[in-house]
Formats: sequence, structure tokens, C-alpha cells
Amino acid sequence: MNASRPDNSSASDGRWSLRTRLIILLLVATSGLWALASYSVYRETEIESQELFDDSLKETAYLLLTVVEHEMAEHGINYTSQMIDAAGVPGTHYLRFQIWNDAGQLVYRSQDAPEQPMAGADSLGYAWANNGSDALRTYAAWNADRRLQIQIGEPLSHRREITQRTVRRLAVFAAFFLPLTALLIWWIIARSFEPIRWTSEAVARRTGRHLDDVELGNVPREIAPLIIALNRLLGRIRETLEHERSFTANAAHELRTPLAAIRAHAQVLQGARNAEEAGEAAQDIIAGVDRSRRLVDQLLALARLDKAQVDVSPQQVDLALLVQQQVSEHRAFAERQQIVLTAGTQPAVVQGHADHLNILLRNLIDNALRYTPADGVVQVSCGVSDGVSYLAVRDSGVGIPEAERELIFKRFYRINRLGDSQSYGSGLGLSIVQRLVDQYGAQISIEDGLNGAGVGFVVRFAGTAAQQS
Amino acid sequence: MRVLLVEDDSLLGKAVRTGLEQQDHAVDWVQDGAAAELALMTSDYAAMVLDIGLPRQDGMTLLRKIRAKGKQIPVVIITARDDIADRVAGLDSGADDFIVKPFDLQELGARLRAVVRRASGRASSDIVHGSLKVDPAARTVVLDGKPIPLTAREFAILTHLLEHRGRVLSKQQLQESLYSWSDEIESNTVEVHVHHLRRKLGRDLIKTMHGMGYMIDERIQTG
Repeated sequence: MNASRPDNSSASDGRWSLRTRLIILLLVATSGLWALASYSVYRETEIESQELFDDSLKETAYLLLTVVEHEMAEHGINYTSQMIDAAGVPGTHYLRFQIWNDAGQLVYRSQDAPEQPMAGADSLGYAWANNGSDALRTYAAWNADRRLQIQIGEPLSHRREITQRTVRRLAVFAAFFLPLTALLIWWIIARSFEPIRWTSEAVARRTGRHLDDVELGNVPREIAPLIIALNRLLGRIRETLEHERSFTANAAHELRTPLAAIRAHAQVLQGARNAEEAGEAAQDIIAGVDRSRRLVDQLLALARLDKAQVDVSPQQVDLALLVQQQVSEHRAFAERQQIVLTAGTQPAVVQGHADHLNILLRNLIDNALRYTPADGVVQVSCGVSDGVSYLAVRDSGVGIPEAERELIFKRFYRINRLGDSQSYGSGLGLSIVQRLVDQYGAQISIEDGLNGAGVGFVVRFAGTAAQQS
Repeated sequence: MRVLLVEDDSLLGKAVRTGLEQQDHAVDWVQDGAAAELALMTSDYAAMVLDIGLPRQDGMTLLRKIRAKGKQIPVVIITARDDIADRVAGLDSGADDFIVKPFDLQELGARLRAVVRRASGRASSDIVHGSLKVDPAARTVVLDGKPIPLTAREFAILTHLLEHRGRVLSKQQLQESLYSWSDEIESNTVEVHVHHLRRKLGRDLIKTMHGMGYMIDERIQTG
């Protein structure tokens, strides 16, 4: 039964076992019911047999009375006593009896009968009499002309002996069948628990590399939902792991491009044909390092978001304040790119964390600035519409073709139209935004940009309070 | 030689272009598959360097497309992924060689020379023509055991003609092999370079086919 259960011994330590409990409870219940049944049968038998014994006692009494009457009429009293003594009453050696006449004299008594009346002087019918150590069941009756009375007695011990034989037989029966029942119960339960054992073994075999579904096989209806739920969970784990693996691979590959650029520019610098070429190569090496750093920063930010973070209690965050902060932080960069960056704020509040919302907003503004050419406009705004707080970043930049709108939230997807190394994003910004939007139970939509060009990202914090509290 | 570089990443593209120019190649750089197709239709390239992770149309698709059109141009692909499946897919799509990011520009140059050499049916890297020996990797020319100094343009014209021995190359074709789109083409430049080559290597090597262009004979001229 407990053969080869690999490494779940720690889990079974100190835990109650359903199987053991079932076996014990069933055994106790079966034995108890058996005992109860035996007792009732015994009681019933005792009552039934008492009546039977009484009947046969009465019959014997009348039989003896008839015999005695007859013998006395034929041969006189002395002969009768001898005859009875000699013949005995067949099968009645345990019985004792007295014959009294109507004058109250003892006419005859069997060998072990006392000389005093066994059933009291004038009691007729059944009675209990005390006879030393043993109780005596007595019966007294007159003959038809009331000249002779018989008093017959049967020791209780005799009756007991017979009922005890029945009980003994029951006990032997029980002694034989109870272990058999126990064995049967144990076997049935052990068999019924097999699927659980297979299942736990199958689950124990699952590792990070081996996460296949557990086969449903021949499991009963009671266990199937557990396995189905487990398989669903395994599926989700597989998905997550696959996601993580491809993310790590993508991240590594994404880093290769700026690294390749840095290396190539370094070689260009080595082989520079003039000072101008050398200067440019050096500049580009710096740009490549900056880009790698941005990519690493974003990767770290994403990793921090990915780590199921425990929310410290959310607070009321003033979106207007946030927008103003972020806009002033990005103003210098915008001016270098010759982009007009404006903030249009109306009071709006969101339950959450300023840190998260800052990351979200920073990525959206960053993106807008990167994909907007010189002399463009980027407008950041917040407010409340239809009772829902929103953040919006609109630009007059290159825009996003319909076909690419779903792709842009994918990690490492980049739109590159400007051909300017300064405009390089990491391809992670929007996937970070998406992650945060999901975390806040908010919605992000891609809408029209400004001046008939570009694109607008609008985040609506519907249901945020419910999500975060 | 003239090379088409297809690289979406502006920073990397710029470095590769400059690096190949430093190795005396003429480089045209485009940033997506559509532009690459257009360039291949309009100009003649000795080889193509292709980053297979392009936006919009990925490099693999572009490669299959141009191979389906019967273009024989030697192609070296640049890939960020170094797993075997990716390399196999790249080679099966019609690439002649691949190089994994980050790579060495000298190695890229060597691989380009190698694919061009293989495309012209030579096993050795040296081009030998009679007593003339050209080493494209070291960019040296030896005639009768004596090294002959050549300028980059002269060297380019010489190797281009040697690689197409027995074929007449027009002035236009030779010019295109020398200059990328961004270069300013000087007039009569091919004639000037051929003139200098004849002075350095002997009059009979390069033949003038009047009204058609120049060629180097497959048979070796003696005397």
C-alpha cells in the first residue's frame, strides 16, 4: 500500500489520512452494527426460547400428571413411584417434580426434588423459585378431578446453557467474519484510492521542464475535476514559462543589436580615414551605449512589474500634478528635438501609486517624443470624462498604421520611420504601459493624434478604485 | 565592389556602411525590404548584406522573394539569433552565409569576399591570371613576382573585370561597381582608371571593345 511513494513523505507527515480514517471508521461502524445485531438476536432468542421452554415445561407437567394418575389407578402409589424412577422421563433428567394430593401431602418426588413445595403452597401456573445458587422455573397444575397436583421445576442454568450455545455460535461466526470484513474493506478502499495515488505520482513527476497535462485516464468522476483544474493550471504555468523564456531570449537578442552597433562603430573609429569620421564614430558609440542602457533600464522596470508585486496600500494620486511633473521633466528633451510639449490638465484623481503612474506616463511621453519629427507637437492631458479619470498623450508624429496597432503592445516591437539614431526606443515602452494598464484594470485605446497626423494614447481608469482597494 | 546593405537599425546600419567603405567597398544602404527590392531592380551589386530582423517585411521573406525571381546575388545575412534552426532557415531561404550580432567588420568583409568568390566559381581567394596574382583580402596585386601598388578604384575595376573574365563590361557597369548612390561620380573616371591600370600592368591585359566597354580575356595573352 505505502510502497514507493517518492518524496511526498514530508507532505504526509503529521497529516491525517483519508484512507486510514475510512478504514477505521468503516471497521468501527461495521463491528458496532454487528455487535448490536448480535445482541438483539440474542435478546430475541432468549425471549422466544423462554416461551418455548415454558411451553415444554407445561406439556411435560401434564404428561407426568397423566402418567402418575394412570399408574396410581392401576397399581397404587408405591408401584408408581418405582416405575417412574426406573423409567425416568425421557430427556428430562434436568427436571424435578413433586406430586401432591389434595390433602397437601407429598405423594411423590423425583430424586433431586426437595420435600417442600417448589412453587409455594397454592400457586398455580408458572413461577420463579429460589433454589440455593440456582433459580428455578416452576409450573404447578391440578389434574382434572383436583385430587393430584404436580409441581415441576427446571433450573435456570439449563435454560442459560442452551441460549449461551447460540451466542457462542454467533461469536464464532463473528470471529470468522469480522476479520474477513475488515480485509474486504481495506482492499476496497485501497483499490478506490489507486487513482489518487497515480495522480499524485503523475503530479510529482512534473518539473519545470516537464509540465505536460496529467492524463485523465481512468480516473473516477470525483477526481476528474481536480485533474482538469490542475491541467488548466499547468497550462497557464506552461504559458507563463514559455512567455518568460521567449522574453529572456528576445531581451538577449535585442541587446545584441546595440552591442553590434557599438562594436562596429568602435572598428570604424579604429579605421577612421579622417577626424570627422572618427568623431562621428565616437558619438555613435556613445549613442549605442545610451541605447543599451535604456534597454536595460526598461528591462529592469518590466522585470519589477512582472514580479507579482504586493501592493502597498494605494493612495489618491493627483493626475494633474503627475502630468505637470512629467511634462517639465521631458521639456528639455522636447526642445532639443524641436517639439512643442504641452500639458492640458483638469482635476483628476486615481487610486494607485504615483510610481506606477509615473512609469506609465513617462513611457507614453517618451514614445510620443521619439516618433514625432521636428516642429511637431506632443500634448499631454488628463481629466474626467463620463465619470472616468483619463490620461491622454497625443502627438503629430508618424502615426501607426492600422495593421500595426495590435502589434505595438508586443515586447520589442518597434516602429522605425525616422532613421535617426536618437529616436530609438527599446521596443519595451508600450508593453510596460500595457502591463500597468492591466494591473490597474484600466483600458488603453489608440485614438487620433494632432493636426491630422500622429496618434493618441488614452488610458481610462475605469473600475480602478475597485481593482486597487 | 558595390554592396547593398539592408539594415533597419540606423545606428548599426551607419556603422556597417562606414566600415565597409573603409574597406573600399561602395555601399548602398536601405532600411527596409521594399527599398531593397527597388535597389536590386535598378542597380547591379556584387553582394548583399541583409539583416533578417527587418520591420514590415522580414529579411527571410525578402530573400525568398528575390531568389524566386532568379536573382543570383550573393547574400550574407546578419542575425541576432545564433540558434541552429535560425541559421538553417536563413541558409535554406537562399543566403550564402550568415554572421551573428555582434560581429567583426573585418569578418563581415571577409565573408562578403568569400561569397563573391564562390559565386564566381573560384575556390582560392586569390585571383590568378597568368603572371598576375590578385589577393582581394589583402588588396595586393603581384605581377611577375613584383608587388604593384594600385589605388582603391583601380583595384576595384581590376577585380571586377577579373571576376567577369571573358565578358564585356560597359563603362556604366564598371562605374556602378565603383560608386554608391551617395558618391559623386567624376566624368571619364573609368577611362582614367583603365589608363592607369594599363600603364601599371601592361597594355594587353584590358581590352577595349569599341562602343561596348572593356574586358579581360579568359585566355592568357602572352607577349
